[in-house]
Amino acid sequence: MIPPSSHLAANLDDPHNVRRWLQTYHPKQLALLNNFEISLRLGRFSTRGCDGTDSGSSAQQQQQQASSSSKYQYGKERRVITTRTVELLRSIIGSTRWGTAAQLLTLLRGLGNELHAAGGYREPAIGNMVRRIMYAVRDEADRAPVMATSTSTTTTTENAHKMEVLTEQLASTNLRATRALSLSSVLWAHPQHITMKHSRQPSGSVDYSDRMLALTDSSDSTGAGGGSGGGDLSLGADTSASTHYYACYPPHYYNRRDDLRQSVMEAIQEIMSELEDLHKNINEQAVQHIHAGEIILTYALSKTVELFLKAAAAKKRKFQVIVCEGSPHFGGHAMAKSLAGAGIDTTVIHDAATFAIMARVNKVLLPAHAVLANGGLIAPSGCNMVALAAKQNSVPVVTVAGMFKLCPMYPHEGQDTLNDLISPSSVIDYSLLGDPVLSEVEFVNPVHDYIPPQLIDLYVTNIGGFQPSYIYRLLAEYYHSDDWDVFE
Amino acid sequence: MNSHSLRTSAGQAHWMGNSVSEPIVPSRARCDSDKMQILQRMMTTQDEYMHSPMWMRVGNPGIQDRRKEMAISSHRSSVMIINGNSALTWVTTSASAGNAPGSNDGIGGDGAGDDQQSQPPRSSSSIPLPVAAIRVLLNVIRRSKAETMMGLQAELRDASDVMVNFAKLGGPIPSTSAHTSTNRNATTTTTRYILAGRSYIALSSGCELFLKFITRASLDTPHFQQCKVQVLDRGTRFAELALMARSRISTIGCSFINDGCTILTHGRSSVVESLLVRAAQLEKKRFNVIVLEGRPDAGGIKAAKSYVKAGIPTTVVLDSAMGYIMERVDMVLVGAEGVVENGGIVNKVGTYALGVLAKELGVPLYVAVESYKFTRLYPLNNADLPDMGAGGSSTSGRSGKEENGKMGIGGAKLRFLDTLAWSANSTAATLSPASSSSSSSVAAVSGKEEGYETNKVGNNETTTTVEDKMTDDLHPYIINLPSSVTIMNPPVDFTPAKFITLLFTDLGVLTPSAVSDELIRLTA
Repeated sequence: MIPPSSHLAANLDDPHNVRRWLQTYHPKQLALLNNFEISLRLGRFSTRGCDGTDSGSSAQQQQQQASSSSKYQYGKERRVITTRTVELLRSIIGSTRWGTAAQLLTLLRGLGNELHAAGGYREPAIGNMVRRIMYAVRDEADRAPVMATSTSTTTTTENAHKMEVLTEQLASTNLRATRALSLSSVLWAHPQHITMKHSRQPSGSVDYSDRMLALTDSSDSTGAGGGSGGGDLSLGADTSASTHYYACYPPHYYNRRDDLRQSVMEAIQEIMSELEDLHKNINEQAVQHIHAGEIILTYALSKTVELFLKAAAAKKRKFQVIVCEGSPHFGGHAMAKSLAGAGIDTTVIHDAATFAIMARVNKVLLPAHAVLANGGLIAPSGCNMVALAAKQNSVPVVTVAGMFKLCPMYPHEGQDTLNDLISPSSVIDYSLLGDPVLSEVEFVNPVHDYIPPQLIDLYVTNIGGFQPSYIYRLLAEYYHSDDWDVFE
Repeated sequence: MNSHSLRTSAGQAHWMGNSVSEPIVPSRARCDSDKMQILQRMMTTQDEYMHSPMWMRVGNPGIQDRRKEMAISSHRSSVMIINGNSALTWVTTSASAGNAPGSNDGIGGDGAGDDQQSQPPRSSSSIPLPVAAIRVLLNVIRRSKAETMMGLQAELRDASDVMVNFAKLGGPIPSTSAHTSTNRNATTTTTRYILAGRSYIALSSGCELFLKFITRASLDTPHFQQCKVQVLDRGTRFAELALMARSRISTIGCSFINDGCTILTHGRSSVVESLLVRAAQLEKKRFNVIVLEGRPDAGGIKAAKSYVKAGIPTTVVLDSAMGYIMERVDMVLVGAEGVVENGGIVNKVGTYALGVLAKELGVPLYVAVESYKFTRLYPLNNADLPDMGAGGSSTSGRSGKEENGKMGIGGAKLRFLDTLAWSANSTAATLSPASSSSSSSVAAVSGKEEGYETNKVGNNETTTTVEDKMTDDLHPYIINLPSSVTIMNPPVDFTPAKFITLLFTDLGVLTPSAVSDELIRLTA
């Protein structure tokens, strides 16, 4: 059922096959992938510092890394990892021989799974980048499907049938109805919406999916296209034992498009340049948010917040910054040092003093680990307390985050969402654990806090400021809803 | 110990007069999988028509009807009335198949065991009302003699008006349904109660969505006949899509259920039911469910039965105990009759209180709802809700007698009963002595099936006699109010968006603010 032209990529129909596929046809790219994964696993990105791609304030970053290299520096390597992920994907996509949009999406999905696993599922930005590229692929594939099908539809051109196909395609081009599942796209009742996220059920599902299959085949397939859609469907159903979702792409994704590679590469380049300009775009807004004479409270160490504050200071704004030290990693110390170095009036407080000092604070500036789909925030552990104290005192809470931190996921697990428990060595000195009483005590060292959206007033991102209630909209612009939960 | 609640629910159901619902659910269980095929075959032979299950039949009026239609067809509007009537009966019967309180449990026991076998229980095998309505509209298209798109649209609008009005007001009752037995009358009365003004929003938004769908389709193809074919084809898919919404929602919503959590639900929603059942049976989540009783239609009690059947540890509390119970709840999960444009929901009365309470205690409130229930209303408070049939209030008079012919739709009659006194007396007499332990506000529904089974059998055999006895039992405990007392019985209330954490829909998980976005994009 696979289009005959692409016998080479014949087994690129399941994300689990991606590694095997690379091994067979593209050993060089596989080596690249392996290298990357190893560095990711060993956390090499942080020590190797910034490459040439990471332009801008690299000197400062180096200095930062030197100053606190022994300390907790989980947050600092993030942009490097993100950039390098996109680079890796660019080089793999650019040089491998995939045929259709569907295959490319499968490849990306497989790569995403690999990278996620290599990153220990701790770095949501990896998945976000893969999703964004997938979105770009879908976007390109949807853009001009009429052209593409005209090449493949040659034999079965019954008039009325073709008419229907054309109108369906017209619909998809005009309204982008295929892009995401929405109330208005439901109105078109495209068959892929019916099959798209069909969940596996123990009984009754068999005949259902069969019928769907028939629907897909009969209604708007053009021979090969729809047929392969069906093939993928059944295959997906077999292999997706672990995940409940499997992708069923629209029929025209199975058509060969020669211009796809070019346009996808351009889209990736756009993402790259967005990442490069990230801080520049965020910092441009600094003067809008930080006013003369204000007292800003921030928590621990964050590159984004640091640059944001410095950008405001560079504009000759006089303001005071209070930094919570951020126990147990004490990133706040490094932060304070860096800010003071830039001539900002800086005060360090211990975390427990947050509430006491909140009354005189004008604005709270929180770092972000991830921004969630409901507008909630994953931030360094301790930030929830800060946000609550701010709420109590009606102090606005502003979060500074690049859009690559936008995660299409919901905080299903509450405080455990995207969280990680790390070694308690920073909480308790191991030498003390010899004490028979202390050894009975459990030490917990969570890395992150989940902050519900109602505690946050504004997200300042590289594409502007948004309220938490608007985040869902950004998600729809950045990711396709089918790609939300492809990496598990 | 569970016999109180059971007895009570049975009793309540009886006061509301829905015991008549049982004749119309002959074999809905078997039909779901092959209903499309049956539907398509339906029109062909009268023989088949006569032998097809009744609720299948009604959407496709029989030969007599068609002849009648021919006779009157000189007049478009009359044709439409017939069409509309068939529409009505379809809706009413499938509504009672889907929603009828008794369809799957004791009261309306459908006799055949095949209902029980469908494991993800009744929820997945019944058709939601708006989907039934969409099918009716498809049939209207199929049988329409309109020559233009405008004509077709006008007919559809008429048909959906008839249906919506019926849901709203309970009438006009189809008098042309000659092909039905006396059961039919029973059906409509019941349905009027069942709809009770509640499903009106869902129905009208479903119809509206479909009309929009037709309009959009008509823009595609200039040629009318072609367009009609295409509309039918896509409309069928559209109905499929609407049907699948439920399973999609359950899949999405399950991830929000964590092991060991306690979920509070209110009212009876088939989406919520399928979600919870899926979580328990397919995803093997372990959680507790607390169900509010759901006066006056005992919706919660009925839902509790299906939860227990799915092996979920279930507790039933009185509606008024929601404040008491909230502190031990991890999340509130409700369905909705409609989702309005500002992201709030319209749902069974009590949801608003629940939402306010949940917010105060910091418990997330999730709403599981299909997207075709999104509706272009913008209520700011409860008074803004569209008139749900007979208003929300009625003056009570009389004792147990029917006051007049018209049953308050929105304000279905409320009876007030001293359940405690009744159960204290009646347990000794009619029930096994062991079960009177918990006359407190919390009655635990145990996981045992026996109670239901016996209840069911009793009902199946001699429904009327059992219930007559029950009324006699109840009679001394019914408290009669002087006629000067106004009784308000609003079927639904409006919960503003700020009390809602997230909506689980077939479009994905949405924040309340995303709802208006979807609605705006629909019209844009």
